[in-house]
Amino acid sequence: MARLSLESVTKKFGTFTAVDGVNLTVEDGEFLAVLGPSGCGKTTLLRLVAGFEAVSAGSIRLGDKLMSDKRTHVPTERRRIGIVFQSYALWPHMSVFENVGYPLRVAKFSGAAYTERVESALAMVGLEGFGHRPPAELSGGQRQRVALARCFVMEPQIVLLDEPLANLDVHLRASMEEEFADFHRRTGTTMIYITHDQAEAMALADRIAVMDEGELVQLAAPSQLYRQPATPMVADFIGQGTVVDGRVVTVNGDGACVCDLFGSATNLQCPPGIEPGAQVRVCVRPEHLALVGRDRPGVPAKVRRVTYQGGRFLVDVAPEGQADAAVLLVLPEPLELTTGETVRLSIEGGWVIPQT
Amino acid sequence: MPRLSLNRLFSTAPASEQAVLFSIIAIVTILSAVPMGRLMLEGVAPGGSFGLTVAQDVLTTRSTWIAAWHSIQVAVGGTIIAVLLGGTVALLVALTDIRGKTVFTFCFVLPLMIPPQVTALAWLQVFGPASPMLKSFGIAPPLGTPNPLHSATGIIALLGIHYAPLVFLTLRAGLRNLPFELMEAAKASGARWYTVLRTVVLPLMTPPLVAGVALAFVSSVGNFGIPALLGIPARYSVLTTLIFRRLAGFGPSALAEIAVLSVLIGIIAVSGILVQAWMLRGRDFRVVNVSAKIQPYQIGRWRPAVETAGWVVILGILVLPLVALVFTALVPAYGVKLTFATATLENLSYVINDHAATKRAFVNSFLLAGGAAIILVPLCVLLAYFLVWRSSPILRVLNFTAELPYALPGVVLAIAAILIFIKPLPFFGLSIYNTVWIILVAYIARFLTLELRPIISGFHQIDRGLEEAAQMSGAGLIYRLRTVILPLVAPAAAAGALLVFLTAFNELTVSALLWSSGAETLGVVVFSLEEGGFSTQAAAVAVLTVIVTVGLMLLLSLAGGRMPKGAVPWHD
Repeated sequence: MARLSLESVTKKFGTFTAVDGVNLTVEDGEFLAVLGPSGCGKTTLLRLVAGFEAVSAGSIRLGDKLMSDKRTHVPTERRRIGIVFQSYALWPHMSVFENVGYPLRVAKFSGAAYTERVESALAMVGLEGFGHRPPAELSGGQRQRVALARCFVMEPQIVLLDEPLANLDVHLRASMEEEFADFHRRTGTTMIYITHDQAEAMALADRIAVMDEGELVQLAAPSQLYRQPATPMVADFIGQGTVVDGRVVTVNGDGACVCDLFGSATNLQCPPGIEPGAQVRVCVRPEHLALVGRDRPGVPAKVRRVTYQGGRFLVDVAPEGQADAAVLLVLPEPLELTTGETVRLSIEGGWVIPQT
Repeated sequence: MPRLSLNRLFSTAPASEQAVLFSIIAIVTILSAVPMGRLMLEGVAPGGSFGLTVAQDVLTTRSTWIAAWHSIQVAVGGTIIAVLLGGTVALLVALTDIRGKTVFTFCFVLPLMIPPQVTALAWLQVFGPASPMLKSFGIAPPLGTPNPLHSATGIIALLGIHYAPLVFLTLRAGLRNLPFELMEAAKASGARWYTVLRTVVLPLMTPPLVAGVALAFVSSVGNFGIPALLGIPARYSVLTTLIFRRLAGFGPSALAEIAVLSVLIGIIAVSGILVQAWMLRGRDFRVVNVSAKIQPYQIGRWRPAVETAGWVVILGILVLPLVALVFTALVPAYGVKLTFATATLENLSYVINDHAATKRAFVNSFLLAGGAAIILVPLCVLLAYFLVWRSSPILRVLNFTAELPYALPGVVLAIAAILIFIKPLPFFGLSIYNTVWIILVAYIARFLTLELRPIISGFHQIDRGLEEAAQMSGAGLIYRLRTVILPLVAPAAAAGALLVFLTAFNELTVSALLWSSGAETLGVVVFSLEEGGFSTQAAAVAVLTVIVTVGLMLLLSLAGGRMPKGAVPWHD
C-alpha cells in the first residue's frame, strides 16, 4: 500500500489534450473517487496511473518510486497496481480459480502456497466453492467479485476501479457499492474509483476529484463538494444544483454575505475574497428553496414544468424577469401546481461560487 | 493524427516488447517492401547498372503490347461475367428466402477454391472432340474440330466463372451489414422490391461491389493457370504466360526484360485498384447503427423457380466440369469412351504410386503449404497484436505493404524472388535458388495477408481488457502471448492457417516460375502433364487435388461455428 502522487500530469493525443496538468495526491489507504462526465479525461487518467499510456508531461509517483515522467515509464506489469475493469476482463478460457490465481502463477507461486492464497482470496469475496466454474457461468455481481479477488491476491499497492458498476442492474449496484466499501474497510487498500455517477462517488469515497475537459476542477470531501462547489460545472454536476446570477451587497466575514438574487436580498455562504458589489454566480440547492404564500416576501416565478418522481415532484420554475434561469425545487406530494402558474419563491440559502 | 516518431511508438513498451516489435517490422519489410523494391530496381537498373534501354526495348516490342492488351481484354471480360454472376447470386442469397443457403453458398464458392489450372483442365474436358464425357454420351464433335475454349472467349468465360465467387463474397459481406431498417423504411414508403433494390440496396452496396470488381479484375490480370492451359496452345498470350514462356525459354539471362514485364503487369493491377479508389472518392456510404439482421424478402411462388435456377447454375459451373474431369481421369486413354468395361483406376494408381514427380509434388505441396501456414501463425499473431492493440503509424504503413505480395499478381512476387535469390545471399553465402526453399519464402510473403486478415478480425472481437488484466497481473509480453492472447485468437489463427494451406496447396502461378526438378508442386505437375499431352494423368492428379480441397473446405465449414465472425469467408 502506498501513497500515489500526480504532479502536473498531462496527456496529449496529437493536438487533443485529454488530461491537462493534473496535480493530485491520494493518501495511503484513502478511497478516492474520480468523477466527471464522459470524455472528461477520467479514464485516460486511470490508464496513465495504470501505465497503459505514457504521460506527455508531468510525473506519477507511487510511494517514493517514480512511475512515469517524460523519460521514465515503468510498464504496467511492473507497477503492481490492481485494476477492476469495467468489462471485468475475466479470461473465458480459464476457470474462476485460474483467473484469480493468474497473478500468482506469473510470480511463480505453486503448490500449497498457490492454492491457499487463491482460496483465501475467493473466501474474501464470498466465492468459496466457485473455483472450478468458468466465468461465463457467473452472474454480473459474481464476476465483479472474481475481478476483485484477482486484484486482492496480488497484494497491490493501489487498486483502480474503472466504472465497475456500469454494467450492472440498478438493484445490484447498491449491494455491490456496499461490497466495495466493505472490501476497502477490511483491506485498507488505497483505492481509486472512476465513475460518472455522482451518487456512487458520494456514497463510497473519502474524497472526490471532479474532472472536466481534462482538468481537475475540484478535489474535496463529498459534503464539501456538495455545499461549496468550486465552479458552476461542479455545482451543476453534483446534486440538482441551480446556478443563478447575483450581486454581492454586503460581506459579513466568517463566510457569510448578503446578495441580491432576483431583486431580493438573500443570506448566502461565500468563500473568502468576495467583495461587495461584485457580480457573482450562486449555487442554489433544492433544499434552499421553498414556495411561500402571497403575503410573504419572495420572488415571483412562473412554473415551467412539473415532473412526478414518486412521492415527490421536481418543479422547474423561471423567476420573473429571468426566463432563461431554470430553478429546480423538490416538493412533496400532494401538490397542485399547473404549468404557467405564478408562484412566490423564497430563497433561504446558497453558495457564492468562487470567482476565477 | 499523432506525429510519426519512434519515441511515441516505443514509449509505453518495455525493452523486450521493443525487440519483438523491431523483429516484426524487419521481417515484414523483408517479405513485402524488399521484393517490390528489388523488382522496381531491376526495371530501371538491369543487372545493377542504371539504364533504361532494356525497359525501352521491352516497351517498344509489339509482343509486349499484344500480351498487355490481351491481359486487359480477358480481365475486363472476366470481371464483367464475374460481377453479373456473382452479384446476382449474392443478392438472391442475401435478400430472398430461398432454402438451403449454406449448401448453396458452399457449392457456389467452391470454384474459387479449386485451382485455376484444374478449372481449365476440367472445362477442356467439357468441350472438344476427344472429351471422354462427350464421347460417352455420343455427342462429341467430329475429330479435328478445335476446342472452342482455346480462345479469348474461353479464357474470359472461365475467368468469369472462377472469380464470380470473389464478387459474391465481398457483396454478401456488405449486404450482411446493411441495416434492415433502411430497407423497411423504403418499403414503408411504398417502394416495391425493385425500387428498394435500385434506390437503397445497390447505392449503399457500391463500396463492396466496386471492391469486388477491383478484386476480380486484379485477380484476372494475374491469373496464370487459365490462360496457360487455354491460351498457350492457341498462341494467345497474355502477360503472365508471356513472362512464363520467356523465363522457360531464355532462363535467367532474360531476367531484366522479364522484370520490366512484371512491373507492367503490376501497374495494370494497381491501376485497377486506383480506379476503385477514384470511383468511391468523396461519397459517403457509411451506414449508422447496424441493429437488426437483414430480413429476407418472401418471394412466395417464385421461390421454387429461383431455387431451381440457382442449382442449375451450380450444375453448370461446378458439377459439369468436375464430372467431365472425373470421366477423363477414369478412362485408359484420352478420347476413349467411359463404360463399365473401360473404366479404370490406373491413372489414379499411376500418379499415386509410380509417377515420381507427382509423388514428390504431393509431398512438396503438402510441406510447403503446411510450412507456410504454420510459420505464418506466430508472425501474424504478433503483427496483428501490434496492429490492432498497439496501433502505430509505422505499422499501418507496413500493413499496406504487407498486402502487396498478395494483392499484386503472383508473377510479380515470383520474379522479385528470383532476382533476390539468384545469387547466393550476402553474409550467409547461402543459395536457395533452384531449391524448394525459395518457394517456401515466396509463399510466406504471398499468403501473409491471407492469414493476417482473420487474425486481425479475431483481435477486434477480443476485449483489450483481457490483455490489460494480464499486464496488471505482472505478465510480460511473451507470457501474456502464451497464456492469454494465443488461446483467445486460436480459432481465428486456425482459420487463417487453413485458408493459407488450402490456397498454397493448389498454388501454380508462383511455383510455375520458381520450381526446379525435385521441387515440383502439385500445380506444376498438373500443368506439365497437360502440356505434355498426358491429359488422363493430369485429370487424375486434378481429381485428387479437388478431393483434398473439398475436404479442407468442409473441415473449415464444420469448425466455422467456433471461429470469429468472418474468419471463414463463405461461412455464416
